[in-house]
Amino acid sequence: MHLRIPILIILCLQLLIPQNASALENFEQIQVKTFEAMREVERYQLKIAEKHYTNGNFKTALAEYEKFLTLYETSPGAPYAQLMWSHTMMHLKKPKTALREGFQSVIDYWPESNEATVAAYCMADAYRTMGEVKAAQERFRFLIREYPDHEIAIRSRTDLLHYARLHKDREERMALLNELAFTLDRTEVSKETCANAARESAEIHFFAQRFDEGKKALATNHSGRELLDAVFELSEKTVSHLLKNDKTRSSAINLADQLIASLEQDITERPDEGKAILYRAAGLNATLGRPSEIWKLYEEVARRYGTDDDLRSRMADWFKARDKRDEARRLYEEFENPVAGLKNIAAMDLEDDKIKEAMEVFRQLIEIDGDHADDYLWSIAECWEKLSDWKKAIATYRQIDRFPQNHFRMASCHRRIKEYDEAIVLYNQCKVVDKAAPEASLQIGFTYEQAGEKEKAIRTFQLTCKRYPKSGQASKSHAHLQNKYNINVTLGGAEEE
Amino acid sequence: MMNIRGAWDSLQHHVRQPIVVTGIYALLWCLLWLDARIWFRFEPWFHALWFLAAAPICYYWAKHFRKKSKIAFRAVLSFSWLPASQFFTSLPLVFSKYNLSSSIANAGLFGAFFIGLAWVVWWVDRETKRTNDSHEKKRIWDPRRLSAWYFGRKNPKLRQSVFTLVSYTFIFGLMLLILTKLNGCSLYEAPVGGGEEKQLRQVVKIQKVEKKKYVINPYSSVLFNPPPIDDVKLRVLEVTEHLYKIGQGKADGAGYSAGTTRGKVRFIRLKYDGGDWEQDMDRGSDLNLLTEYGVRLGHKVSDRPEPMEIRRLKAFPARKSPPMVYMTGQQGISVSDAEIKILREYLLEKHGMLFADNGGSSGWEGQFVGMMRNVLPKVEPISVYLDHPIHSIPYQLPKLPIVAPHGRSNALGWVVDGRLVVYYHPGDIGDAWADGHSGVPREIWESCYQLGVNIIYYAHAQYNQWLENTEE
Repeated sequence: MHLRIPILIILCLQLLIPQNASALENFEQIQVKTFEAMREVERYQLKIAEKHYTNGNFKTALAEYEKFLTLYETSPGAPYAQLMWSHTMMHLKKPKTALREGFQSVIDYWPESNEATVAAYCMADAYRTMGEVKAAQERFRFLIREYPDHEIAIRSRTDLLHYARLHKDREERMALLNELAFTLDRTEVSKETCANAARESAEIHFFAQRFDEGKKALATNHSGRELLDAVFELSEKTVSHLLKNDKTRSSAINLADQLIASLEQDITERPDEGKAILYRAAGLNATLGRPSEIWKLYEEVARRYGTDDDLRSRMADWFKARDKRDEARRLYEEFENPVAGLKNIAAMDLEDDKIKEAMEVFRQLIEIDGDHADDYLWSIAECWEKLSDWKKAIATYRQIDRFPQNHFRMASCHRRIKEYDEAIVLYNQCKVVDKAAPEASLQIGFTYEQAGEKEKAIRTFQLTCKRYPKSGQASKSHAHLQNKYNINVTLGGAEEE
Repeated sequence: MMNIRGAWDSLQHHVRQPIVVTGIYALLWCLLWLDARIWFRFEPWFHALWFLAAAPICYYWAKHFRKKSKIAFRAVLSFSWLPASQFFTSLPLVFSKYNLSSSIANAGLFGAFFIGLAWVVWWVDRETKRTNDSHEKKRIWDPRRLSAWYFGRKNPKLRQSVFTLVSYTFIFGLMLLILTKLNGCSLYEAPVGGGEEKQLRQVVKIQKVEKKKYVINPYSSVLFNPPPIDDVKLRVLEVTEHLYKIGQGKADGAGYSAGTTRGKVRFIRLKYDGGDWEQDMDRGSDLNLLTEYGVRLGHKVSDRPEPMEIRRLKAFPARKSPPMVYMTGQQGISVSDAEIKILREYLLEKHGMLFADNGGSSGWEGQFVGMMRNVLPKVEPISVYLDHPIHSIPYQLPKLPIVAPHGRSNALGWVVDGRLVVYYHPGDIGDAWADGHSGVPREIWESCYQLGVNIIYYAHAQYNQWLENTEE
């Protein structure tokens, strides 16, 4: 009782605070000093515009920013309003207008403002949006030269890197990566970009079997155990990628040997992380296709650190991969966590087509893990479907509180036993949920089709096109009407803003 | 003088000979066949008429040989198959029935194959009976003889039949391959003229209906309520006037400055393997758009759309190639490496443009984008924005019209040097151009026509500009 009152207060407060659909990005935010210098009435107008902008009502936001510029032309917030007007134009899919009448105006009228610098980047970005790659690249290079310490220089480098990748310009790509990974200072703004660049650089070095150089690149991001994890994860990924092609197989083995040598060194240097390192070595051997080595490593883990559920699970997987399913089952039965063990047993039974045994396991799970009873009941219902016992499947789905998914499944089962009217009733109930309505409408069409009521089916497909013209189900109905019935009058049609 | 007259009489006498008439017709028939396949200079009705002209010639020779030689009579009937099947292939094209024409063409090909096979079987059998199968000791290579060494000793007749069938099929296939690979040299010329690159303006004329004046006697026993002023309806008449001549250049008439007097705007639809490239063509989709383009912009347009294989784009020389080609479908797209190369060359070197319309599945979108990744590997698609000239000239399109959203909801574009070289539309607008407009509302199909007109215009304007800028 005492707890309820503060919870209610918090809930009421949450309702009172306006919820923004999405927050403004870095380049869309006003500077604090500009905001301080503005009058209250100007701030209010900007807030109104921002509210519409963040809620995705871009047409209204555009009008509000225009209103600001008309009413408060000399305000310190004017360049920001002009910048936001341009961003709004970009959202309205009009980059050309944003470029010519928006960003360019910010630079022309307020060349010394911070917004002018942001606008310079946005112009380059607008060129990219318009597909004018050369103009965009030139602008990005210019920005790196002119504003080397600004956030836009980092962004420009990322954009240039994208084009270097696309155009397979190896030299420019490596130069940009090295600059981002090794040369630039890692600030709050740049650290993520620099870390990604270091990772990409390491990946390139690993592909070229330059293990140490790759490790050096990753060392700019991580240290200690994190570095070991990163090196292992990336190099193992590279090994498995190189193994796919016969021509690069020798390179994969070369890189794997370097990695194993590194792991051996790690295990002596960090004995407390021995278990994780041994599992990594086992993973690498799995990638290289050396099963006996994997088993030896598991035995070593058991000898050094004892057997737990994680090791049992890995060992069971090893047995399953070798088709020794009884041994795997025995290991699952030995699990300390019975829920996890039973889940694995049920999954194995399903793989082996032992549906009834799996259902029995799910029933045991309901008894011992009642919190997830719905999930297990769902699995039992699916088992009844596999056994083609549609009535029992329907009865089980009916017990689950998962609307409208369970209604869709029930309807599907009714269709299997030719109870089309019941199926249609269920689909009509699903229409209550807006997101499910197009699918329900489409399925009603298919149900009529199965029931042999061709005219009703055609009408329903046409209605799907007409009522939900922008949905994927309209596309399916349209194609189905054309392909199956040779009907071209599909009644669809819409306009996308 | 006498000698010349004698020679003239002799020539006239010879020309009237049936064999000479047949020879002349055969020569012209070959040229016309090439035209129907490669050049497309003449209309389908002309092709049909000319192929029909073979009928009296065939009839004459059939009658001539009927009693003289059975074999010659049957040979004439067999030869008649070719112009007959060509006639029946050309005839549906007159009525824009492309699917039917394609089916008849396939049936004609199968027929020709079996007629040829029958003749080959007959000839081999006759020759085998004629040649003496003497037991010579040296190796016999002649396939007409059953004792040829490669037929073996067991079942030589069966082996000879199989050999005949395989050899004939191989030769027939080879000939077909050679003939279908013929590309020749085609030309595309835009109509000459001029005009401005401006939006078409809509002029709305309002005709106000004069309100009737009622004189009401307040002492009248009859109740009369005059209508309130708001209920007086204005008759609004919307007229679209061509305030501007849409085109490029300063010449008279609407058109393009680098065009020619015989030039026309044509609509070329690409044929490709693996899918239904001909979707909606039989429903007048392409023809309707082409006609609308001609009516709205006043440019000269072709009176029929043209289906064309991708490899035939190679046949167009630079500066005389089509500014735009169209492709649609909803099944698979199977394009060879050679065709990818031809498309790349067409788009980049010949300054062409590809307009793709998804006819019915998100799978087609994936395949198209995948194909484009091979055609233009260094160009990534952009979402074609609404203030792009393609969406604003000659018609301003504030929204993108779609008939059914097959995949995404925005148009994709591939831009090279500031020019849109590929425009992909996800919403099957071809359906809205077709007869009956597939039941979509009027404002949507009108918008679809406007988009189609804009795309054709954009491609031609860009091509014209390139021709002007690179004029030698």
